[in-house]
Amino acid sequence: MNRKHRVFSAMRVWAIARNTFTQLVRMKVFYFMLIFSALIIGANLLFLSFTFEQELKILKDVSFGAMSLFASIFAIVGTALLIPKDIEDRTLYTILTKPVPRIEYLLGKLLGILLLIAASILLMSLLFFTVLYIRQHGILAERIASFPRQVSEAQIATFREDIFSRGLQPELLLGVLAVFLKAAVAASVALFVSTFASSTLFTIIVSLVVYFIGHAQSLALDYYFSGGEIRSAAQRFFAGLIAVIFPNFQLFNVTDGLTAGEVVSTSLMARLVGLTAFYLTIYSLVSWLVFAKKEL
Amino acid sequence: METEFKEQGFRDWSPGLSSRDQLTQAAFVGALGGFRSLVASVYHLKAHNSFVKKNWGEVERLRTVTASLQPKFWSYWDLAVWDMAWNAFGHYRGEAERYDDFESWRIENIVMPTYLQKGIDFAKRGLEWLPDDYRLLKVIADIYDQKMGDPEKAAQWYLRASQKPDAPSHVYRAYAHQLTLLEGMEEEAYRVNEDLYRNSGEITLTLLRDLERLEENMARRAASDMSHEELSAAALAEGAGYLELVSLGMHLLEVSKDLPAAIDIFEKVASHPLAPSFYRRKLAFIMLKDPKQTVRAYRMLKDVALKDPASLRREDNTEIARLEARLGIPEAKRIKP
Repeated sequence: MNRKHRVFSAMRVWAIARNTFTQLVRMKVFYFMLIFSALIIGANLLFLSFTFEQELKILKDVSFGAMSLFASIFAIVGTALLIPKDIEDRTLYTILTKPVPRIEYLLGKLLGILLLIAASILLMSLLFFTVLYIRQHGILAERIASFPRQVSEAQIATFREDIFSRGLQPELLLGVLAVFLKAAVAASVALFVSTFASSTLFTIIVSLVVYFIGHAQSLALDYYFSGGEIRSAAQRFFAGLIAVIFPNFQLFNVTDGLTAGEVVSTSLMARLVGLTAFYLTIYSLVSWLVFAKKEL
Repeated sequence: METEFKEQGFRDWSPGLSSRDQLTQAAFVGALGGFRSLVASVYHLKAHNSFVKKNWGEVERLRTVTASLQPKFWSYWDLAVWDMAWNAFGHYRGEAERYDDFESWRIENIVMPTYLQKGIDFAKRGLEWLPDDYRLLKVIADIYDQKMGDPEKAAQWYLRASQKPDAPSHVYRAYAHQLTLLEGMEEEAYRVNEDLYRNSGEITLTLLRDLERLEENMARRAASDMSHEELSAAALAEGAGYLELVSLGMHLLEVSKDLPAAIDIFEKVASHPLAPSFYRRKLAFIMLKDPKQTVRAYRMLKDVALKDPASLRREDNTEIARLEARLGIPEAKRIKP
């Protein structure tokens, strides 16, 4: 039975994504979990001489810092490896000689790496939240035990509220989401670079440069447009161009505030999701434009 | 979007000179690269190490960095204040004792006040970021109160702290206490302390002692400034309170030296529905001056010890023990301090 060939098929994108995910998993990338575990368990054990507020903050800082670092490394290095490896293994030719549009190939690769990032962040979050949960209960028990008098139920409730409000809170999930969104944008940048790069190393270096410039771009724009005010159309165009080429990664660093006990609204997070979608779309389209013309 | 983030307290950090000059290159890149909170934690650990080594200059530098990296985290400002105004200050107080007169004078008059000022400056810088945080206002008041012995400034800062939304009630009580230490502010101190006594529902030992001292001073002043007739008229006037009776009682006790009449008046004070409980203790000790009233006075003290032990002072224990010995009270029946 002949089935009509579709110009764009989500199923084909999904098949490539699954394949990419499997390919990356077989590279034994999940060994990083050992390092991550050592880091946060170490952070949990080393800092016993501080107040519980500082102790929990350090635990959150180390965990979020490591999550952000690993997620960004996966995003950039993992994506940089994809196309060159497919060329080296000749998989790319096998795929593209079939009726698979190049945009589907790119989207499948991007989705695959996003799946890997999501899976690794999920694993790290589970470990992080488990350690945080255990630690906050440990702190509560220590506080009750060290109290000079018999502790009443009301006092225990106060201690619990005091400690837990600085521990495992639902807002931390927003931080986890922000880490994922940032890594997703970094992956899309790396995907774009890899479409015209001559080597994996080049892709990694250029993507890292964009990553760091992206963190400093708002500072540079603030400096260029003193006072942060953009007046003329030319200035607006220039600022917009800079913002598209170098995504403002600082916007994704909500964990800095969250670990210090600040609150981020869900509406703002929704806008961050929208911004990520915008960058993913723009970079995917530009990657496609470059990759479509590329001679393989 | 960035503006919105800034309005919500996020993304409001840009590396100011204070941190830019003092961060290492790697830490600066890390702070810019999305690891600001982590870098702040690392510098916090370094500051702690310097604190252990009592390297106060380094502690100050590192605390400046941590606070600049996460200025909205109040704990970093608080730690900076504590390291300067308590830890460094305490360290130099110990040092002052080890040196000769000149060096000791220099440490006490130049070095130690400098660290107190550094503590205050940290707290004030923190307040620029956290203007509604009562804790930073309170810590400034604590320095004026506990380290500088300046009740006027302490009262001002406690009052400011107590007006913040999350301020617990003890901050306002601290303000009330500082007022009692200020000369020329007796009326205001009495107004605030009496209001706390009547309306706050939290009567602490400090509040009781302050109120007792304030009422005693007011009554003693009236007792010496006014004649017996004037005081009697005031005590009998319509709407007169227990304070007028206290003034009259003090006059009888200290000016007229009429002990039985004074006891009579203080009995009325102690049974007055609005009079604070410490007047029962006072009555008992006045009665002790009259040998005929010793047994009654002891019973009253025993009653106070049972029902209102907070009214008794530490020094009362010696007096009570002496009295019990004189009255031959068996050990088992004595008042337990």
